[in-house]
Amino acid sequence: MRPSGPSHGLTRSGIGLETSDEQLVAAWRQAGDRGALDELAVRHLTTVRRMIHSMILNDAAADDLAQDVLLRAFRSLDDFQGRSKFTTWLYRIAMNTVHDALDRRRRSPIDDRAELPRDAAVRDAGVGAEVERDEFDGAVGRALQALPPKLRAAIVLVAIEELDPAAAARIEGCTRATIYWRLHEARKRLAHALREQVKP
Amino acid sequence: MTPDPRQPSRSGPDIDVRLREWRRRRDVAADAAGRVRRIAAAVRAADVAAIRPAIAPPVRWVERTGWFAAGLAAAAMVACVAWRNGASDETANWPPSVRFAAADIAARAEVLAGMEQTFAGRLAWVAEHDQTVTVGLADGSAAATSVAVRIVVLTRRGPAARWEPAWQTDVVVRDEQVVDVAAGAHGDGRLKLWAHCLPDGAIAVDGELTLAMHAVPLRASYGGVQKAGLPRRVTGDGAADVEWQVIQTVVPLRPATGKEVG
Repeated sequence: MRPSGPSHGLTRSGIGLETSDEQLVAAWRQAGDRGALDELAVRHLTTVRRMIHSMILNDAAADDLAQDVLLRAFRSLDDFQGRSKFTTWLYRIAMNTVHDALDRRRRSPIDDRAELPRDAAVRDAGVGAEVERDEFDGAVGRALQALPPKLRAAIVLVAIEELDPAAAARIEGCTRATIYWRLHEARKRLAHALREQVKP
Repeated sequence: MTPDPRQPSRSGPDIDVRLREWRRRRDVAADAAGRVRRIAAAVRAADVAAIRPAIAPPVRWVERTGWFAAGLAAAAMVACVAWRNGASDETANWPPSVRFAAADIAARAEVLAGMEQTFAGRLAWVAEHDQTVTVGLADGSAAATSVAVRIVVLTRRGPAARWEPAWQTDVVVRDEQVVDVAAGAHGDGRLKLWAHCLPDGAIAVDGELTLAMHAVPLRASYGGVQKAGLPRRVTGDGAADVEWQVIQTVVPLRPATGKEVG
């Protein structure tokens, strides 16, 4: 799995990296150590926000949902039993929140649409490789948006976030076989949608 | 053709790399790091009282919760027995067509054996519904073990009404192959199905079914381990005055002879 890493520029709480997520949860439960929550946020917010954005494809909505997910997770820490890794539990909350949001969006398609790719006039102002990259990025956004949420979740968790399919299955609440199948289907559809951009 | 889903797709790794490149550029373009800093600040400023941890329980309460847990477990056992009884009653309300008769299974096994010769061992699945038979081929040689799956969608209008079959399909699928076939009387739905025989004789099945029936669009995604030969309600829902449920029966077919009846 790709680490959130220190490159996000967040201020650490002074708690060392050797302290596990589970120990931080215990510190919060036993002593109400707010620094433990801040450290958990520092460690995981980047990944959570990135994951949410890849699903929802809208920066403002991803920001709101990421904040919502962190607060929701912190308020439910008593429910975290330690049967899974903290990250699996947190990402599951994140993906459930995203699926709910996408479901609401499906029912009210006018609101909160995914961002459209850059305007053609803006693209035309660029040159060569940059224009190609912009076009590719726009095509990726549209192709991801066209995937049903479950297929999108599989490709986001396994291909983009590089999670193990077994972990992705736990997060999505399905079997590993289902994740393989969704992944296969998502890759097939993306390859078709991006056939002009991704030449063999 | 239906490739093995456990093998990475040929376009997979390249697509994955391009997606990660897209992700990195997207983060830079949208100043993701700055956005994360602002979210972190908002989370830090959130009302601490609203996320205060539950106070650790005193020992006596823990002891009491132990008794409470024991009582809860006993109640759960009683409820489980009641549920099992209820479940068998529910099964009795299903029409007989949800079950695989031995003759049905033998017929499917024969069809499979015949087609097997035609497609030189590459047959991945055969699906039969609404007077239509569809076959899927594997990239290479498919596994010898097969599973016969019957899926019956039952609907009823109101709790007092009888459950009636609304749509049905019989599928024979090689172990770990993926069925992907049109579903519904007008072919406007979709069925995806994957089955795997477990060493203990049970069968793991994952399915995704969409059907446009009546006023209730059926959209079901389910998965689980199922005993051979026993019809099982895998999912169900309802809206307005129409309810539906999906009943699935699975039977393993022995390789080679194609005459096995489970």
